[in-house]
Formats: sequence, C-alpha cells, structure tokens
Amino acid sequence: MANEMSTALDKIKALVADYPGYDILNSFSVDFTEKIPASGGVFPAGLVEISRKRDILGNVTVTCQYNFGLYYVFEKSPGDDTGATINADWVMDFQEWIQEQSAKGLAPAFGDEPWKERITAQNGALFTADEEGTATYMVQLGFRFIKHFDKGV
Amino acid sequence: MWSPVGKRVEDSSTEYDWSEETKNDILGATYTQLKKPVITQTFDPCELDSGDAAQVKLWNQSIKDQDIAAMAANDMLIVHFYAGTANTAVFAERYSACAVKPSSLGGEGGGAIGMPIDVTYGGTRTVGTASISDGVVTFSA
Repeated sequence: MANEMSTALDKIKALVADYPGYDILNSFSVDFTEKIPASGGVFPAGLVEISRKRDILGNVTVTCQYNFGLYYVFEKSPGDDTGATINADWVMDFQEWIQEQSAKGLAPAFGDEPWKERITAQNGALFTADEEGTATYMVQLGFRFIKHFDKGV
Repeated sequence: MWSPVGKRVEDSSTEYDWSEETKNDILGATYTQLKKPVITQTFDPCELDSGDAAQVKLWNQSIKDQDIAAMAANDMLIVHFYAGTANTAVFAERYSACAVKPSSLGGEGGGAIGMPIDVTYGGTRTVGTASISDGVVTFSA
C-alpha cells in the first residue's frame, strides 16, 4: 500500500507541476509549506472507499477516492486588493485547468477504468493571511477511480 | 476449456418456465401438468472486457460474424457451487446447444460499452459434477 500511495503522490505532483502557472512557485513539498511567498505543498488526506461491489463470479469492483489538500503561499499585504486579485485568479485558474485535464482525459490514471475517472480541484479559498504580507490558499483535490480485484473461478 | 460468463454482472438468476397448466375437473379436483423447464438467464449489465474470454467469443460470433448457427449452439455448463463437495465435486449440468444472444450494445457516454446477453439453455442435458482447481473448471458426467 505504501508503494501505491507514493506512486499516486508522484502522479499528483507531476500533474500539479504541469499546470502552466506552476512556474511561479519556488518550492513544492509534501506535508509541508514554507511560510514564504511562492511556495506550495500537497497534503495527503487519505484514501476513501466509496463503494464495493461483487459480481456473480466473485470478482470485486471498488470505487475509491484519494483526497489531497494543496496549499499555496503567496504575497498579500493587508488591504492589498491588487495582490489578492492576482492570487485568487491563480487559484481559480488552477481549478479550471484541473477540470479541463480531467474532462479531456489528459490527467494521469489511478485505476483500471481511466475513462470513468474524475479529478476535481475545488473549494479553492484563502486559508490564512498574516501581517507579514503572506497569505495561504488552499484547494481540495479529489481523485475518484475504480479498481478491479479478480477472484477467478 | 470452460470460461466463466458474468464478469462485472452483479445480479443474475436462471429463470425456469415449467409450462404449468392447471385444471379443475367437474368434481372439483385440481390437476397440474408440468413440462421439462425452459431455462433462460439474462446477464445485464455486461460490460465489454477484453480479458473475458467467454465474452470475446460471444462478441465475435454475434456482433462481428452474426453467425446465428454458432449463436444457437453454444456448449454451456451450469455449475452449482452451493451443492456437493466444494471445489472438488459440485453439481453441474451441461447443455449442448444453448442460444446466446446480445440484447443490445452500447451505453452512456464516457462509460464502458455494455453488451447484455440473454441465454436459453438447450440441447442435450448432461448432469454430473464439476471440480475447480487453479481457476480451471473440469466437468465429469
């Protein structure tokens, strides 16, 4: 399971790195975000089993979802409406880009039926802002996929 | 070699039509006549899967070749896993000429292609036992 999760993490990091706006980030970590502007991090939030079905031969089909939180730290001084707008635009554009990748089937596959997979990036919002001129934004990432476990006869 | 039918099918039952005919005579007695059953079974939804050998064979003979003679002459085995000695000698019945026909082909956008099939078990019925070892089913009359 550890290998599977790290493989999934690798795929997610690669997907996020493909975003055209990714180059504004100086660093991108796992389970950690530096409190300096232009840094980001992905925080795994676990695997959720959505459903489990068994066919008449004993094979099992499981629908799962990986959840992740993406945190981005940008510059934003208190009252800086221009900076806030730029940051919000970046976050919204990122979510739309993820949606496009998923809808067009360009995102990496996690399960056995790639054509049924659904990747969502949603609820992007300002998470915290401080007096030192940094703001942290958070986007929730979800990867829903299907896996088959064949029993045989 | 026997290949299982029903991959990704979550619910399927054999249906028995006994051609039941019941009469009441003029004295009030009830008589019922039964005939040998016509056994049918529907596998729905049945998503296309290239790794499903039985489904590939059925797709070839019906969708690709429309070979109606072959479609009506499939050799099929019903294995009753719940009856007998598990894995080594469970009750099984073989039907030498079964009609297997897809009822549709397609499905919703973005989903797998479905090919639900209807089976009518027919031909010579041979009863016996089946053993299962390493995924291989062996029938003994």
